[in-house]
Amino acid sequence: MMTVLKHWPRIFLALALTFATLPGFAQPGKLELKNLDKLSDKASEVNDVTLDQSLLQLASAFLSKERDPDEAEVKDLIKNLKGIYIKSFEFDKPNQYSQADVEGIRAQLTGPGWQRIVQNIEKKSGELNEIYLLKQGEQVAGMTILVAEPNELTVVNIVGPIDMQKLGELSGHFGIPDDIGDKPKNKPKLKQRTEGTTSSTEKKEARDQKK
Amino acid sequence: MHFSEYDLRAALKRKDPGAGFTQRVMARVNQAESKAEQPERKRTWWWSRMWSLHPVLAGALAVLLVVAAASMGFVRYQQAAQQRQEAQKARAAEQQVRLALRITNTKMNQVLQRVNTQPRDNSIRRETL
Repeated sequence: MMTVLKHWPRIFLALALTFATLPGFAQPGKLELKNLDKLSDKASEVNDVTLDQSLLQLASAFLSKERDPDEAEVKDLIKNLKGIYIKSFEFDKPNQYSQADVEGIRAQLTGPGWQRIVQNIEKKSGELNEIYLLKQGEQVAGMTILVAEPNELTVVNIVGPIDMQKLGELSGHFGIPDDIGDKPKNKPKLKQRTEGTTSSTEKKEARDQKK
Repeated sequence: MHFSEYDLRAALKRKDPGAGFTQRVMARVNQAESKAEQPERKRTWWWSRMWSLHPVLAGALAVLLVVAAASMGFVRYQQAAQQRQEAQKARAAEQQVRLALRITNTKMNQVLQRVNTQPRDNSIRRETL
């Protein structure tokens, strides 16, 4: 008993660290991206962004609407966010990352609340582009963009209520390039799909796959 | 009480002031002058008087003042350095936010563009837009 009392600070710290790493106690919507760190050595270009809530608030305080009206929009966009975590790797040679690396991320996106809203798989090149939203009731509580191309792997993980419309409107402002390439005239607006419905395109694709 | 003429004559009779009368008078005059000079002494600084009275105490006070001023200067310097550091951190965070939003926006547009432009036979598309 005395030993326990003597070492209680260490025991408390160990318990706190143990519980903090458990999925149930982790920040909801935050993905574990550490398994991608090993790709840094192979990549020709690495973008690693880790912005927790305190850093976002600090940046928000630095943004001034008097200095630039665009900054006011960004300030508004990030004010309620709890974190932005990005890992982006560009490689000179293809296939520098494994399928397991991608699946490690996708497995986390099968958790409760996550909904895949866009998926594009190109069979020939094996490209995978996906956008997921974390829904909490009717509210968007997070977003993940996964881009896996032969020479590139990018994971964007935004934690907190994100306004997709405002995010899209930032194109061409705040140092953000305008929409790349030939943007379709009617850019689709992101909406939540009703549970259980399947689009006609999906049905047709499913039929084609069976064949 | 009555004074007789004899008494008055005796009282008013000329007397010899004695030897040293002049010196005594001059001494009194000098004393009066020195009293008149006394207000000028008040003009002297209190610390100079204190210095002359208590050199150790005055020295200690001077050291204390210097130490206090130096401490205040150091604290102000530290505060300024901390503010500079905070500003640098905020600027770095703001740059990170710019980069993050640029990547997010670019990749989101890229994915949506792929979904809208990919030929159907080579790809699987799923949209819940």
